[in-house]
Amino acid sequence: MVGWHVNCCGQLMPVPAALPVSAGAWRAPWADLFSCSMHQAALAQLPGTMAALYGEKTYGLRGLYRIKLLAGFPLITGGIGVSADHLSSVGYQATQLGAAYGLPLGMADLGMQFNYQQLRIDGYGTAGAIGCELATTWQVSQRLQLGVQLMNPVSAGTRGMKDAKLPYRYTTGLGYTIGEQVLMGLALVKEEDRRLDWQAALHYIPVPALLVRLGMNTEPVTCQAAVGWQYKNIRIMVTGSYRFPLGFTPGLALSFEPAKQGGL
Amino acid sequence: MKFTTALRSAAANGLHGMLLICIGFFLSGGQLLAQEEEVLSSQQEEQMESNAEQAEENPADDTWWQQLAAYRKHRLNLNTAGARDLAALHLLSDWQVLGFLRYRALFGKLISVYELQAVPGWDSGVIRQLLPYIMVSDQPDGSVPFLHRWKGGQVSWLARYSGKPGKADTDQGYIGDNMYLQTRFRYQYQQLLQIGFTAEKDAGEPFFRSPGTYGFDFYSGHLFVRQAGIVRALALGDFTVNLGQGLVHWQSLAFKKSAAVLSVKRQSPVLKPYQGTGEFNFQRGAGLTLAKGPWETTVFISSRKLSAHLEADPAGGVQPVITSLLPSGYHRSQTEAANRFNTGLFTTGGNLQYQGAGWQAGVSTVHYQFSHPLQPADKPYNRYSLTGTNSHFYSADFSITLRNLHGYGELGIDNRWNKALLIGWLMSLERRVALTLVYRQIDSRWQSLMGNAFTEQRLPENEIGLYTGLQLRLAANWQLDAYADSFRFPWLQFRTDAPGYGSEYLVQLTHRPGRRVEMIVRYRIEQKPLNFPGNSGHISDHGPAGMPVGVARRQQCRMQVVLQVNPRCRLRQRVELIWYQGPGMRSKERGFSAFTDASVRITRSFTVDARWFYFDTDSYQSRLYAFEADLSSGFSMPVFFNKGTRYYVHLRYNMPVSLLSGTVKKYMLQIGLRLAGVVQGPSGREKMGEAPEIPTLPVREWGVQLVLRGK
Repeated sequence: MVGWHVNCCGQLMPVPAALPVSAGAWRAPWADLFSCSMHQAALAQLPGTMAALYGEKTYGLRGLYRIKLLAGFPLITGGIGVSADHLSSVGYQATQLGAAYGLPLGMADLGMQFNYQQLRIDGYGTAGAIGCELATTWQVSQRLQLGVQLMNPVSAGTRGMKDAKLPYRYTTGLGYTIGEQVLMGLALVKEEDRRLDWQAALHYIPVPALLVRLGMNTEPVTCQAAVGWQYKNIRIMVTGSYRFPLGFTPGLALSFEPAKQGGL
Repeated sequence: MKFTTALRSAAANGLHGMLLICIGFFLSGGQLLAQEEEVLSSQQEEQMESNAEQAEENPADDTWWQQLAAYRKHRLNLNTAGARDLAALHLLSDWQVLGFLRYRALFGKLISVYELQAVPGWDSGVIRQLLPYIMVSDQPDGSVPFLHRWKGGQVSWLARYSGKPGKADTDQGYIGDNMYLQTRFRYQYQQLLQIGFTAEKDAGEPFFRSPGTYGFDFYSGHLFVRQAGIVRALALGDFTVNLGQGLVHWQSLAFKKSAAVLSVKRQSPVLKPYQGTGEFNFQRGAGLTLAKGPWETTVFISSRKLSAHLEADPAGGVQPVITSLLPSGYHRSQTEAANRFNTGLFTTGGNLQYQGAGWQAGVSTVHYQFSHPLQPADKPYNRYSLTGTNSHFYSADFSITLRNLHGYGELGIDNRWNKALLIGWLMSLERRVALTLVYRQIDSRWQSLMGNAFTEQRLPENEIGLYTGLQLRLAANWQLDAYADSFRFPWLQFRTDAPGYGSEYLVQLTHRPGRRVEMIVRYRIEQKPLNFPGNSGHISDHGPAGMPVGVARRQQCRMQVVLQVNPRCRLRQRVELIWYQGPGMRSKERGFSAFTDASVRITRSFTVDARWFYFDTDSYQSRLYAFEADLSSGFSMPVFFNKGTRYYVHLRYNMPVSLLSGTVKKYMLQIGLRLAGVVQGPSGREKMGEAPEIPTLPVREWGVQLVLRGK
């Protein structure tokens, strides 16, 4: 399963399989709630009230699915976000609830999120843990941004699972804007006890109402693509990913966002 | 050239004052955070890390840091500074030093620091870095009478108390508590007179308790006079001696290979005051440099105690023999305390130089006499090590500048007729291209006790190699630095039981899109001969019988971004990847590290520095070093291996004080607090054959520092 490292330690909620990597998508017009959920500092530049619902059928397997619900609200200074994430398979369910805040500081933005993660395995019981995420983005130049995110910087024990703790994850990346329509992102992810994961992303806005995303991971090797079309305040995004040899994962996202200028 | 002439003319006429103000404003921008504390550039930090990596130890000599702090108060006059003075700042490459001297020789004394932009090879980044330490003045150095220097200088006093909380490390056999203690006093009158006293105790060492009642473990003092008539330098007490290119004797800070690919030449005044807390690499006695016209001569004499490991003479002699010198300066355990300063070293030497027009030549000699004979362990790699009580070294060095080519070198010979040679060239091929070549050929039998030359190994011995460095200024904001070094070890060495070959390559791309941003990507690969591991799996000092020496390959990739958000806040982000494969290893070991740090001036008096550092390496073999700033006048370069998260927070608060009521003399008191530690610390320790145990980082440590400076 994507992102899982099954051993006696605690496990992080994996990134949804069909959502493209969002490296570099931290500011308008590239950021959306999905990239905010992966990098909380993006909440600092939230353009307006937003909500999103996402679902995927992981690898097309029966009984394996993912649902993610997100909402974001701008404040006088920054923005807050809440999320609910549920992953389910036969005999295994994981749920995560999160609350995040992003603070703008001019050339640098800060973000923080607290999560409650619950894991239930049939026959083994339920375990829960509280985790924390810290993030920052730096406007290095007019076209270049740097992003850093730390997940669980201090190991958090898992209630209900002896000797288990949530692992640490460190992500850093660059986003480079080419013109007004193209964003290229490159990120590096290091999770505790896992090999280094390189991520590359391409974001393309051919017209204001249309968004195309392509992404790729190296650990595991996965390719993702997404096409989003926005009509007034509603955007529909069709996503998909392929991981050899597990197969194809389709996904669908529905979001409520501020209307874009020049859109339909 | 036309621009320069116009600039000088305009300045003289006062017509371009506005232009100079604008240039000055531009140059001073982004420097405000660094005005009160030394902030090393990425390049300087990398040079320090390379040194620590090669020496596999945390450096104890912070003299350079203190010297920069001293220059901040009493700036170097560019109109009188020589090549050695400029090079001793370690902020300029050798070619930049030469470019400046040629510019000054051609156009005469500088009128203003803003003129520096006209100097070939000096860009705005270099000038901004130098500004806190330099000035332009017509007043010749040394014009202050000697007796006047004893009044009106700057007084400073430092006290530091740091360590890890809890009981003493009795499980390690340490006698003393866990705390580090240092106090330091200094009086300095410009760069002309300096008096200092230092006392220091390392963590684990006893303090005013048995064995011995030494109080502190280490004491150091010096009196240093510059520019008093024909006396260029007079050193009494503790001082360092630097000769030639370091083949024979060099004790000041000197860098090996690093991303500063053009910084290859050793340059320093022969005598320098010793201000560090390292307990090994300095002289104790007296030194004198006299200069008249183009001639300069230096003589020095030193008698001091060293710590050494003594054993009974295997030949049955009465005197014990020295099997190894102990340069760490630690006297924590009973064994270390028993070896404390148990060996005498008497050193004499001298240097004679002639400075011509565009060239320089010199001869040097050093003589060592130990109180006990040297007799290293009977290992094959010690076959040519120094033995006996006496050793003598002689050398001749030169440098010459011809148009765009600068050549230098040193030839050394000892009393056993062993030879060492080092020759280097610096070339400016074009305005944006500079090249350097360094060739060294050092006999296996050449054993320099205090040498520090531009070599692969820590000491200049048993090495033949050719180094090539290239610097390209690709575009306005892009710079490429690269070097290639190919070397050979004709004889065995520690952990390498056969002669062997090695190579090292580095490429660094630097991008500065603006004066507030610096981005670096660096890749380095090194291959060296190394023993196969012994039966225990550790690299031992000799591999299994019949096994050949293998090749250890180490690759490093670093990516770093420095962002000066505003004059009050600087952010930095670094990611480093390491791959290591040693002899006999089926697969590579991997290492990863990443840190984010921030320096923020909350108010004019209150500054906060913080870092969060995550590291994850497979073992000590894939270790890495990272420069850590400490409280004022301090730094460290701990080694990171296994897995952990390192953090530190420094708080510094400056407050003016008046010590005596009714006096106009004001002082600035800086209170510093350090909190540091490791979360998910590295597990256990690893032993490296006969090498000392590798220290792990303490789970928690703290420190308090007081610095009192006259304003």
